[in-house]
Amino acid sequence: MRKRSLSDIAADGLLYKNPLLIRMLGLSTAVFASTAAKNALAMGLCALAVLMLSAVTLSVLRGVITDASRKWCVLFTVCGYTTLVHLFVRAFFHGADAALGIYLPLIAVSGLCFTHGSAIASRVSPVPALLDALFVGLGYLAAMTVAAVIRELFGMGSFFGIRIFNGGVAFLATPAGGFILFGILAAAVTYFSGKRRDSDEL
Amino acid sequence: METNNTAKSLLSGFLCLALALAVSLGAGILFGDKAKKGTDAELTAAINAAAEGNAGYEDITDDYIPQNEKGVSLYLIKSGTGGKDVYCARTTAKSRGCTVDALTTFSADGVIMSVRILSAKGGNGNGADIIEKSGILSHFGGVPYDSDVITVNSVTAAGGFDDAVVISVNKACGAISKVLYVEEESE
Repeated sequence: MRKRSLSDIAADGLLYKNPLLIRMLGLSTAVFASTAAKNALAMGLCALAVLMLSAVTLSVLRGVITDASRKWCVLFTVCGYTTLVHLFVRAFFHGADAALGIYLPLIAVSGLCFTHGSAIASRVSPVPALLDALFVGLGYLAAMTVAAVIRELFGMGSFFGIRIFNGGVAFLATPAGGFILFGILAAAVTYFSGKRRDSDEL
Repeated sequence: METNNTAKSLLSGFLCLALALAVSLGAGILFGDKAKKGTDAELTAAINAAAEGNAGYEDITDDYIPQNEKGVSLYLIKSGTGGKDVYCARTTAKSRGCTVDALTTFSADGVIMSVRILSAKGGNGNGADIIEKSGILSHFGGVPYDSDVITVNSVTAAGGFDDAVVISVNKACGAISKVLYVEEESE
């Protein structure tokens, strides 16, 4: 695997290979969590924490992980850290846990963590793995929060729970509205980044 | 060579499994109690908001609700002002993919004082907002536990969340009827 500079890692995670808008990973969770900006922020931070913890662990264990066992190792590791993060959120941020419901533990089987763990974290040394996880997680968090702010503001007339105006386009708050919005955002990011989506190349 | 690879694969798989189990168990030990207290704290806050100036509450679920009846908890809210005690029923109900966890407060004679939504999950969009906008909660205040109004609402409930709220309040009414029946018997 070729060595990448910090700016490459950052640009890929945040923009060119944004997990949500370019590679469409963890989309179903994002569509649910992005009905409210607070929920999107909470879900994004949880995914970021799981990504970073599992990236470091898988990277440290990369010497013993074989191609045959890679999927299992990634799955077990991500499940363990998702449990940790879920219980932490339930203990200290009960409101967020209640709002996110089943979608928070579903990070364990999200394509976001699985793909990152299999393709990057279990193949490179800990520092690049951690940096990559950080920027991929931040890219996911940023994309979801932007979508959530749009959906909450124009769908329900509020901004981070604060009422701005009454009414709104209720369709935006539905899953169908969410998918369409993500499609529009993905098209915009692809157009402005000037690069074609290439989810196979990592 | 192949045997070595198989052994290494098995070793790495078991190593990651052991690690995941250790992390999960550690998280349970570290945060398990606090996670439960977080739920209790939310309930206490809802009860305090529903019955202002109360002198604490007591879980009386086991006295009235059979153990096989899931999704119902009963609380006796002690009056802090020397007046009559009131009751709260926490009930969970599901309808058309929407799950609602509600706290219904009853006066000592079984009249609904308020219905509060503790959580609303599933369905499309933010459940708490949808319920608030539908205005269904305002139908229950001042209605006796045995009123037909609650049953009628279940027919007119527009969406899954509304329907789940009505089912939840109905469950609460069913629970409180057991308390009041026992009280009448003992008198």
